[in-house]
Amino acid sequence: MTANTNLERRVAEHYASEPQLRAPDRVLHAALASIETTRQRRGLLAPWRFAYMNAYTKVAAAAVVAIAIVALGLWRFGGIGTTGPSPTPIPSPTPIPSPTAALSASQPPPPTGTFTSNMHGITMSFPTGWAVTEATAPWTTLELAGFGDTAADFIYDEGLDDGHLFLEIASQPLAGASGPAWADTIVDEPCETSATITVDGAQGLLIACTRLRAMFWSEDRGYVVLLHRSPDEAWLDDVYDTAWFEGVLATVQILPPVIGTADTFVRPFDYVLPGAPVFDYGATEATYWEVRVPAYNNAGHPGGLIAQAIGGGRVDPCDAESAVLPLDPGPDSVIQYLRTIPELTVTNASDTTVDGRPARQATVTATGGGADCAELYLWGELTESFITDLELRLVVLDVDGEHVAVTIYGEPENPELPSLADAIIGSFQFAPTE
Amino acid sequence: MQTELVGRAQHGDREAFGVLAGGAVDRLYATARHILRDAELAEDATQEALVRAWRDLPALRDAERFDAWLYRLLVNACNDVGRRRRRWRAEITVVSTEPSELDRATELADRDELERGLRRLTDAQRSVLVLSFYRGLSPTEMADALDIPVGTVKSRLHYAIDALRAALAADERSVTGTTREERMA
Repeated sequence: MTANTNLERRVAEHYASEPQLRAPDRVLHAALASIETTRQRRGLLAPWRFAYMNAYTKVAAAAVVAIAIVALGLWRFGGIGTTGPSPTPIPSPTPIPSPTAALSASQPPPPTGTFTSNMHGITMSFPTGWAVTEATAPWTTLELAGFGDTAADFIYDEGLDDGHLFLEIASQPLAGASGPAWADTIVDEPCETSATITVDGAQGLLIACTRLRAMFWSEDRGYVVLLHRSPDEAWLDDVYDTAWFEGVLATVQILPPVIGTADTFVRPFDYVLPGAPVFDYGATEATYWEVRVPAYNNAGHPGGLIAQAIGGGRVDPCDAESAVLPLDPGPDSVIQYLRTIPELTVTNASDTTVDGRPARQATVTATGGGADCAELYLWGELTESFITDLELRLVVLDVDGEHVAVTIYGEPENPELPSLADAIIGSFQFAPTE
Repeated sequence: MQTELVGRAQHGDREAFGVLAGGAVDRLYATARHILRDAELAEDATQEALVRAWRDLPALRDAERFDAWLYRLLVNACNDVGRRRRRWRAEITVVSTEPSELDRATELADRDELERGLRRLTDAQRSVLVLSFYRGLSPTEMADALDIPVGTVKSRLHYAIDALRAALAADERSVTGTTREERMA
């Protein structure tokens, strides 16, 4: 305790002695410039129009549009940063009635924004000034999502009517199918015009009809990037043409699987996280390692995995200060221990293997909140209270004498998660004991 | 005053948000800088947190919790930026032997040692140390900012300090070939 207190004091003094850090001015300027083109989330299709803007923001937004028009000229005709004819001087920022009206007579804005799809695992550039609505659910059907559906990301020109001009992004596992076979099964407008393409090194097809649809595939996942232009606004076909769409596709990057090592864990292990959906790290500590899916969290139904070196059970799991209850070697002793706790329901217990080691898995639900047992502390290791009133899957194994429990939360709410969790757990490779 | 600005910004007032952002940007940046140990990444994380704050502000129910909520967005942004950094490093294995800017600025040996120890921690471990010992947040405030129970805050702090001690010992071993404890024995 004294050692801890001394080190805490040392850390506090260290921070106190650091010079005052000030953010460079560009940080605030860039953030404020970015919010000029960022719509607040008020429900999926809430309108955002010039009518809500004050005089300052009108001028600023008009300036963005004016600069975008000039930048576009550079992008399409010669490229930014290349030598060639002198560019048109940037006009003074003058308020104009509508960005779309200006652009309809001109060219599309350059793809200077960058979007990362946490659900679908790609990054790409998109036109300046367009708004983004992120997917909050996986794409699980063979039908392409309609504008505003939660299964796809939509990047759209909000200066037009909703659904008139947008890029749509979606992906799903190939589920054993070949890429071309998968592309064949996806339902969209009938169209026989297609060409082979390569997107970030992945083979695919560009299907050009009313909509321009790129379908490409990695080893185990198929991706769709689609450009929709409303037939009600014929000028869109000329401005947002195939060449423009190919320019956007050239910016696509498929996020690769993350190969990592939990090297601070008491039993270090290697693991592989899929590129889609994107996982992030809740914690990587000596006895606690957590990865989770931000897209699920943003959608209001969190999902992820927690690996814990449990250090035994508790004599009284309702008491945070209870003594540790040693458990016999082997994974089944953990399941047996859980069955002795009245506040837990343990079902579907079955054998499995992890890293070639015998393991047991079960569905566990804890009830909490009662007067006698407000919170449950299942594990001997100092840890937070166990998640209550939520169906969890628990996979338990014995790694050379250390019980490791993997808790998967959010499976019922996130239908893609069980197979993702199985793949992640299946990738675990524990370091040999020295 | 801040509550009123938050209310206005929630209704789409960009000027009000500009005032809030201007008042918060330095402490956000400093916090991100200590978590990520990298000036450029800290800029990215700060900018990302501010843009997310604007985007999601209408969903903030209690305007008085704006500061804690902003820290939550910043820590999440640091996690995201940190994850991108890990990916980048995984793909491009460049081992830098140059001392960092902070190294150059640090003159005292003790600070150097602690600095190296802090750099060995994960972003998540540094987050709790920075919020607690740099920003001076109480466990309750940290729980609010990190959206985790107070008990978890305490355990994470405990583990972070343990990890720092282990990192310092490892650093000492790498420098001298032995630990202070071993020398004392």
